[in-house]
Amino acid sequence: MKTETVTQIILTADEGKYLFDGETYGKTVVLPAGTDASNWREVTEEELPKEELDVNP
Amino acid sequence: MSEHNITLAPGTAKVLHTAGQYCDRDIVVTAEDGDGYDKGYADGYDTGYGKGIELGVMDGEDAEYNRLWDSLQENGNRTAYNGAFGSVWNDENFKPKYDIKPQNANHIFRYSGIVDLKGDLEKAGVTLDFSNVSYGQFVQMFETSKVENVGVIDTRSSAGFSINYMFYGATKLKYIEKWILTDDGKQKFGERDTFGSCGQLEEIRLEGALGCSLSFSSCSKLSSDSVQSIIDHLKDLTGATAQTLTFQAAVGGKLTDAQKAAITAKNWTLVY
Repeated sequence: MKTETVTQIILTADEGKYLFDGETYGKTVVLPAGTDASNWREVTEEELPKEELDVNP
Repeated sequence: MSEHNITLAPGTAKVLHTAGQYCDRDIVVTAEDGDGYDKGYADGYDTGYGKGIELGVMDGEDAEYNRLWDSLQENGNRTAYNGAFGSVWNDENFKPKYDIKPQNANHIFRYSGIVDLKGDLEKAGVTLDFSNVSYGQFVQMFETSKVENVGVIDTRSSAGFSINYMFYGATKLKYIEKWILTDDGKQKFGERDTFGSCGQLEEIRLEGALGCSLSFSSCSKLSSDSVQSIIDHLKDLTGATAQTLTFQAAVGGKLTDAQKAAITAKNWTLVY
């Protein structure tokens, strides 16, 4: 039997906020142990990048 | 006794036997028989004429099909398929004659109206083979197309190049039977644009290793098997720079602790 212990850092955004690292965003971020979490900051929806889509009708 | 010269169509007349007459020479074609002959002739003519037209049209269509696809695919030798099957193409007119083996597949199906690419290729009896694509020319391959089912996509030949907007805006995309990556996970795809706005994507299976950040944040319908396939094929980045895997919030919310542990154990950051 193989047993592993995986340590994680879990960030959860406050109500109405998102976690954003300049590229990706979400409500929850699960980081591997030892990862620098300072890249992630809370932002409002208005601060998130807008998707531009030229939809094929 | 008079002699009658009558031309008879086979099977359309009968001989009347009358007592005292030379029945071997008195041959009467009844009015009914005459009508039958005329009718048969007319019907046969019509049928033959119609069949002739039909066969002629078919011959014409075959000739037209051959001329079109021989020209379009350069008798099977075409390699520059960049922008080849755009907005004028759909499941009705996309009937390639030769295997499609591009060296340049940039925006090959961008804006395309083709829905069932896999089915169309199977019906046509041809293959779509990306093994010869050079210089990472997969950019915008299916961008804003109507494709739902793309079958197998092999992007291994793009190693060393960055590919962007591969499926971006393919809002109807549902099935990717298999996405084949290199085993070393050294391929680079646009993190947020590869599957951007692919809100209908349900099924995707990976082969090889994914080694760069990738977002499925638009893909709210991803099946659990698809999610597991993605997790199973994340490259182990232990000791290397961590990359980020993003799922749509509801999809990520269904991940088990074991799945989350599997992701972070390979030095990936999970976002949802």
